[in-house]
Amino acid sequence: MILFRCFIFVFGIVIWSASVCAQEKERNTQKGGSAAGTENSKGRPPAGFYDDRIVKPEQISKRPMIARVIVAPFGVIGRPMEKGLNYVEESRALDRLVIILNHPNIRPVFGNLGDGSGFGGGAYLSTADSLSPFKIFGLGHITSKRYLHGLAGVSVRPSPALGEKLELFTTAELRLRPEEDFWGMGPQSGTTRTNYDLQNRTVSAGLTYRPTTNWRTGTALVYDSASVFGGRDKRFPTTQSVFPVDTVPGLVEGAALLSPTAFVEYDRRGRGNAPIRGFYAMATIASNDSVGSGDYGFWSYTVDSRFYVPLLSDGRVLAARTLLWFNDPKGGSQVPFFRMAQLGDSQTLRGYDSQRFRGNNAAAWNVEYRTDLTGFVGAFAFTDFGQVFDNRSEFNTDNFRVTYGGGLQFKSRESVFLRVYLAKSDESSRFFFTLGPTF
Amino acid sequence: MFLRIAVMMIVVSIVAAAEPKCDNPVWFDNDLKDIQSPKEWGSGYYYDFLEGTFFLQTRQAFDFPRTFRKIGGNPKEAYNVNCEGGVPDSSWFTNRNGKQRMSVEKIRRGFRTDDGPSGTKFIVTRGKTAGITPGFWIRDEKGNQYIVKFDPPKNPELATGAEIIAGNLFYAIGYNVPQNTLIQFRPEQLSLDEGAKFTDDRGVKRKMVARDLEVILSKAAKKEDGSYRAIASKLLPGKPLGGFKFSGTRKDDPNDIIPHEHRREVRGLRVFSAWLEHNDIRVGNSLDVYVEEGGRGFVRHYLIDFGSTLGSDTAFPNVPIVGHEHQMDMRVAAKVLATGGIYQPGWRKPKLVQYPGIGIYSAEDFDPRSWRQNFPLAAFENMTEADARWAAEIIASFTNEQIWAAVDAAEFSDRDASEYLKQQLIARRDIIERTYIKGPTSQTARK
Repeated sequence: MILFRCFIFVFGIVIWSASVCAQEKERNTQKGGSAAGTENSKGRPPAGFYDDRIVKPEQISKRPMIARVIVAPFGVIGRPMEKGLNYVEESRALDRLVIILNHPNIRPVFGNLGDGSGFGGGAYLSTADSLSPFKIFGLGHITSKRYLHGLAGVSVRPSPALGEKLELFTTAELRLRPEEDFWGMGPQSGTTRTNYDLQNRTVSAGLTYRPTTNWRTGTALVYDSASVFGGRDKRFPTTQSVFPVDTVPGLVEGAALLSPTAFVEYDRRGRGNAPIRGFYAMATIASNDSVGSGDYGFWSYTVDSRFYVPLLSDGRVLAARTLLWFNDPKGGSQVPFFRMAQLGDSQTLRGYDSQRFRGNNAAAWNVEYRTDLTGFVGAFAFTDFGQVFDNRSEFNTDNFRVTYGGGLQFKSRESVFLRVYLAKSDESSRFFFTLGPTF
Repeated sequence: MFLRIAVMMIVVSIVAAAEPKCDNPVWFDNDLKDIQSPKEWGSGYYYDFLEGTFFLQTRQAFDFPRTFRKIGGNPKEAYNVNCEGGVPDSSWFTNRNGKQRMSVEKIRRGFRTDDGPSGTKFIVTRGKTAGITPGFWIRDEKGNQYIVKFDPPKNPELATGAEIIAGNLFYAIGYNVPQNTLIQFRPEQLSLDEGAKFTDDRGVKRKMVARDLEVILSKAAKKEDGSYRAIASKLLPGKPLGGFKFSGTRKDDPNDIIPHEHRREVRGLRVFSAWLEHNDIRVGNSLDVYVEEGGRGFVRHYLIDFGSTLGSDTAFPNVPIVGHEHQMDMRVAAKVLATGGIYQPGWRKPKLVQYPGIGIYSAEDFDPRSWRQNFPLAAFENMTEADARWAAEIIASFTNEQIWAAVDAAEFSDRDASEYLKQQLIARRDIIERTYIKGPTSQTARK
């Protein structure tokens, strides 16, 4: 939201500047080019104008010259800024923008498509409630690094009695990710950064059911066909040129997988996206089997649990998250490398590069201490730790990776809309500017 | 003997030097002289926020003389002060209760030129759903125009009660305020003017239709009998010029020669605002109007919009931090940051709204010295002990009966809520008195 406001603010100043120039020109034309003075247009006040005032103008001391010189820039900047902001406010430009952003049928989408994908945007289209109980929706989103996400789908709420509780859906998706990073596999993967181009075509159908406000569950059948090519980021070698193709499952041929999945979610957080107390958990299970070339088959399980505890005051919150991601190969089958568990991004180990660690399994914890500085601004400090591992014997304290950092978050009444922070690890320091909360 | 006389003469001369005679205090500062209408300017929320939060602080940091005077305990006193420390009447302020006690009936009535909308049928001429509160403009049978404002549906009487009480008290203190009248009406009493305009949520203006009126009323608190309670605020006569600033002067108004940050009634407004929890005091909630009276045209300065006073935040009850910190309070933020969040002001704890029609307003933990409005204002930052004492004297001049009358004007349906508010206003008055007035002056004045 702050970006939009900045944009509108600058836009307002430009508009105002143009209007002032036009007005000034017109005024000068009307007055034969004479500049308007500070006196009233009736002229200077006549003699004796201030005789019955409690204080005369000459008795009012002015700010010293040095102070006036120092603050002069504020006058120069302040006036145009004031007019620009007032224009923005009076024209209700921000309100209009918010309405556009929340339009039920068509609205713009901003942001990236994952860490390192560049900045981008697109549009979300939907029939909203106009074809109720059906809804047709679509999304197009592209970024500066040519990442693309296209989606089209239909959903239906079949039972008037159940209302919004039960929803059936089917979707088709295309995802192009031309600069995905690969550093190797396992907890001690090397420091050579390579990149690959991943393209996914996905079709899914399923249902979600929300029996109560706090609980939600669902199931779906997902078909995903992934192709892998050499990465487009010329700064780094392609994955195929560095890693022997037989050591990285799926590097050559990609994979086509059919995956029945199910999930259950419990949410007791309340209050927008910046909870101060409560608990959240989500667990998924999927059986993934190859339907094309390659011997791929595995069970995948994920758990995401979060809790929020106020520390003697609602202005101080301890937030923690546990992420568990397990892939259990079936028999002698393998897990394609692009479906392995990954750590290292703005959601897991924030001090490491994107997708820095990759393995069959991963466990990561985030702990954040958040405190309100003012009604709008908060500060936070965090530490993340976790590791990837292929089997239980690899999971040990030596393989833990730790990152830490801190920054500021900006929020409206109950929602964080922007975070600015620095994260450090033993390998790198990363500066983040993210829209919305981390968790 | 000679020694005694000498000592007495020295003492007398010292006393005489310390307190100059004040035989003929000035009680009128003639800033009502004929001028041509100044230009209108905008005054919005965004700039008020930026100006108060960032620009003002920076400017003051480089105002070295001000800083040195402040460190030396000798801040610049207000200019428009007579030898009694009083503020002469002007286009800004008229001495009322502080100079001569108003009758209880006058306090209850507030500023009125008439009895509010007359007749039983009102014609709606404009409407809006944009902004914090929906509302519309009406024309009564005499042709007078009023802005009609409502209460939020979950808090009947909250904003209208605050508007009436604060408006009446600010008027009794001495400020210029619009005429606000409490009205009750049924939807059947309204009809749409043929040329009525409507501004929707997106700020788009168009012809107003009956459905728009229904939408506006659906966002307002409705009484059990189907009627609505509202404030009818009479349009101010004259040409609106935008709000007055809390520093500097209006350059194109020759009458406006005293920088506003050095006017006692503008500085002292901080204490009055603290008393009445006018946390939203800012440029946007003031208004300069070019009026023509007695063959002269001049600018009169008004306080407007009291919906966010007392326990009301207009559309909601106050949040707990109101009155305790600015919306972006750097001092508090620095303390919290320096202590790693260990320090969290106690006032940030959630508070229970005991009376929906009152919101959050209390004398408990009220400290007028540390009271803060939403944004820093130059004049408030410049307030001296003398300014505060002047304001406190006026507040102290209000008797319990006058305060009861001011609250009774809001016609709260909940008697307990009304009593609670009276107690809190009186308790806050007493705290202000104890804080700024040393000596019996005000006690005597009130009795």
